[in-house]
Amino acid sequence: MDSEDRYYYDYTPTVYEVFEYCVFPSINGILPTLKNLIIINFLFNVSIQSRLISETTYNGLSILLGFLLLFFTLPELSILCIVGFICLTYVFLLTICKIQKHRRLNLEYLTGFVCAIVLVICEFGFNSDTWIQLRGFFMIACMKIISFTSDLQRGEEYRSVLFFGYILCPANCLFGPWVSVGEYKTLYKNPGKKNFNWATRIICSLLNAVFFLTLSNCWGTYFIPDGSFKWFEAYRQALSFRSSHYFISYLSETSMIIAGFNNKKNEQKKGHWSYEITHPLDIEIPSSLVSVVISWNIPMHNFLKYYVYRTYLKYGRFRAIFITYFISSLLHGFNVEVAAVLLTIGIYSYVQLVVQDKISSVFDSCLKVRHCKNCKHKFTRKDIRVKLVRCLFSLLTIFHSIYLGVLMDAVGDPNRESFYEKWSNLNFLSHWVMLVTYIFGII
Amino acid sequence: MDMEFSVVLVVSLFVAIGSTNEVVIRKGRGKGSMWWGIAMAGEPNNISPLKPGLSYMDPSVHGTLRKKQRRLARENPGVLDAIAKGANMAIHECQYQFRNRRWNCSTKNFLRGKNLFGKIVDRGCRETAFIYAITSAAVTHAIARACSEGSIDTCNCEYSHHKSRPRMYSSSRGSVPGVREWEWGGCSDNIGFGVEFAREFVDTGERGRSLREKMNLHNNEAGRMHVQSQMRQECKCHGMSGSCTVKTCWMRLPSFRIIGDNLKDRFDGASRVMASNAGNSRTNHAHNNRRKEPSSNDLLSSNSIHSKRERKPRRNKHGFQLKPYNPDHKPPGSKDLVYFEPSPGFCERNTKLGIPGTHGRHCNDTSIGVDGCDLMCCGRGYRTEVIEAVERCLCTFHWCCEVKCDLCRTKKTVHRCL
Repeated sequence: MDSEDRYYYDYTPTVYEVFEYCVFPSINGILPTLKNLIIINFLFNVSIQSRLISETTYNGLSILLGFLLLFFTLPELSILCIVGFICLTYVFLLTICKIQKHRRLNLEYLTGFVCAIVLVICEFGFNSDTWIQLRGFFMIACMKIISFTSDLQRGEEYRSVLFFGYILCPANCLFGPWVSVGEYKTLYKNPGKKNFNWATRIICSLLNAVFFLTLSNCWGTYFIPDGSFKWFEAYRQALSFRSSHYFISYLSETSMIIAGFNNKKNEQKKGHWSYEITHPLDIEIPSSLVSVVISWNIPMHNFLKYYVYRTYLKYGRFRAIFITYFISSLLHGFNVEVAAVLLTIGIYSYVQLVVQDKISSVFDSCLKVRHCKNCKHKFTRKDIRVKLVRCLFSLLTIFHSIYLGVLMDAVGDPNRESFYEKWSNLNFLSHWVMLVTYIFGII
Repeated sequence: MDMEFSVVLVVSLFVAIGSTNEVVIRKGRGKGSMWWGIAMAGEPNNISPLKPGLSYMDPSVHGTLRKKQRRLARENPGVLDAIAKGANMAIHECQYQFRNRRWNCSTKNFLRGKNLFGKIVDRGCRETAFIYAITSAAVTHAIARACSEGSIDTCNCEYSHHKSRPRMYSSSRGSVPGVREWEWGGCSDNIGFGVEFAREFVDTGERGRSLREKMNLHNNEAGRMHVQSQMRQECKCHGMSGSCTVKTCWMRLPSFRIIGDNLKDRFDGASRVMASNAGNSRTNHAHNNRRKEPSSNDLLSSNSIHSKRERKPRRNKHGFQLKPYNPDHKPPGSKDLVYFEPSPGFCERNTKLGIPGTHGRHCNDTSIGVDGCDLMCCGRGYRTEVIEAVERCLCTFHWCCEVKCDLCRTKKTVHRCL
C-alpha cells in the first residue's frame, strides 16, 4: 500500500474536484437534517404566530415537534434513552419539590449532581458511537435542567408541561444553543413581527453555516494539503475543528431565528432580528484567550456566568472559577481531550491575565487583557507601539489556539491519537512558551 | 496529425478490413471487448450523429454491445454515456502513458470492438493486459463519477436514515476496501456501484475457461481494484463541542491520471502466467447461468497442491488462481497485471499483428530511454526537421481575471524516425 499512499498524498485535487467530491457530498449529507430542522421550526413559528393556540398547546407542540426532530435525526434506540432521561429527571424534580415543601433543600446542587452522574455514566457506560451522537442533546438538556431548577429555587412557579416543552424545544434541542426558561416563555408571549430582516438573517446564517461546513470538510485540505509543514497541518486541523463549531453555531442560529427567538438586546430596536452564538472573527484573530472563551459560544458562556459562576461566587472567586471549569468539562461529557483543553485554557488565560497586567504596569501602557476604560496610562491604545505589542499577543494567542484545537479535531474518533501523542508531535511548544511568558511575567 | 502517420493509419485500416476473415476464425477471442467501440459512438464521423444522450437502441451502440450489456444499459438509464466517457478516458490515458513507448496505444477510428486498439488485443501480451485493465478501470471511474453527479438514476442517494445508520468513522483508511464496506451519509456508495456495474458489464463474454479469458478477467478486476483502492471516503462529525449530531462524508476520488500511473507501474512489473492446475471450479456469478462443462482441470485439481489455494482467502473474485510462469515468483496479486505471451516487436510494421511500427514517430535525440531516438527508431536512424511553432508567450495577468498573451514564433527542432 505504500506506493499507493504516496500517490494519493502527492495528488492535489482541482477546485472542480473539490466541489464535486467534497463540497456537494458534504452539503448533500446535511440536507436531510437541514430540511427537517427548517420545516419543523417553521411549523413551530407559524403556529405561534397564528396566535390561536393556548400556552398548554404551545408547550405540547414544542414537545411534539422537538420529538419529531430528534426522531428524524438520531437513531431509534437513542430516542428511548432520551425519553427515559427526561422522564427520570422529571420524576426526580417532582420528588425533590415535594420534599422541599417540608425541608429546605438546595435544588441546584442536587440536579447538578444528578446530571453529572448521568453524563459520567453515559460517557463510560455507553457504546461510544451512540453516545457521541447523543451527547449534544444531553449537554443542552443538562444545561436547561440546571437553569430550570435554579429558577425554581429562586421561587419561580412553573408547570410540568413547560418543563418538557422547554427541554424538547425544536429550535435548540439538537444543536443548541442553551436558552433560559424566560426566553422560551417570551417566544410564546411575544413572538415578534417577522419581516424582511428576519428572512435575510435566516438566509445569511444558513449561508454562513454552509460556508463553514465546506471550510471544515474541504477547503482546509485543499489549501494545506497532507504532508505540509507540521504546524500548518496542525493549524488546518484546528481550523477544521473551529469551523465545524461555527457551522453548528450558525445552524443553530438559523433554527433559532426561524422559530422566532430574538436577542434580548433587540427589544428596543423594532423589527431587528439576530441571535448571535459565536463570533468567528474574535476567535480567528483573538486579542487574548479570554476573548476566545467568551466568543466561542455566547449563550453557553452566559449560562456558566449566571447559573454556575454567580451561584458559587459566595465560596470565593478561585473556587467559583474552579467549579465553573469543572461543570463546564462535565457538560462536555468529561472527555479527556475536552478536559485537557479546558484546563489548559483556564491556566493560559490566568497566565495571560497576570503577564499582561504586569507588562501594562511596567511600561505604563494600555496592554491589559480587558480594555481599561478610564485609561490613565502613558501610552494609550492609539499608540503604534501598543498596537504592535497587541498584535504580538494576538499572534501568540493564535499559536496557542492551534495547539489547543489540534486535540479537539478528532474527538469521538476511536482511532485517534492520544492527546499526549498529539502534543508531543508539536514538542509541547505551547507549554514551553507559556512557561517562559509566565516566568517573564513574575520577574 | 502528420501526413505520414495518417498514411500509416489508412494502410493499417485497409489491412484491418482485409483481415476480417481471420477475425472470424478467432471468434472466441476478445468477445467481451466489443463495447470499446462505444468510445467512438458519439463521434460525428460515425454512423450516428452526435447526440446528447446515447441510447442502447442506437445502431452504432447496438452493434457493439452484447445481449447482457444491452440489458444492463436498458435497466440503468444514463449508464451508456458514462461508459462512452470512460472508454474515451481510457484511450486518452493509454495514449498518454505510452506516448514515449514504441507501442503508443494507437487506436483506429471507425472500426469497432476489439479492433479499436488494433489486433494487438488478439495476443496475450502485456499491452493487451494494460488495455483491458485501463478500460475496466475507466468504466468504474466514469460510472462512480456519473453516480456522484446524479446522472444515473439507479445509484442515486437515498435519504432514508432508517435503512442504515452510517458508521461513525470509516475504516477504509489504508485498507483495501471491500465492495460494501462503506456507506456514506445515508447515501448509496457510488464506487461500489461502479465496481459492481463494471464487473457485470465489462466481464461479460469472458467465461473464465481458457487462460486467455482468465487473463482478461484478472486484468479487468485489477483495473477496478486500482480505482477502488484509490477512492477514499472521509467523514467528519459535527455537533456541540465534538459530539456527533450530524456526520458528513465526502469522497476523495483520485484523478484518472493517478490510476493510469499506477497501472503503468503494474505494466512494467506485470507477471507472466501459465495455465494453472487449480481449475475454474467456481465461476463468476455473472456467468453462473451458463452450464459448466466439466474440464480435465477440475479432475486434476483434487490431487494437486494448488487445490489448497481454493480455501485461501487470497483468490480473486472469479475463483481461480493464476500460476506464475517462473515458479520462483509469487502468484500475481489482485492488483497485478498478468500476461502469458511475450510482446511482439513494435519496431516494424506488421500487418498480421496490426502493428503500425515506429516509422515517423517523434523521438528525443538526447534521451537514452525508450523515447530516445536510438531505441524508438530501432536503429533505423532519424530525420531532423526545424519547424516554426506559434505559441502563446509573455503572458500577463490583469486584475481581475484575465490573462493576456502575445503570440510568439519559435523555431523548434523535431526528430522523426525513418
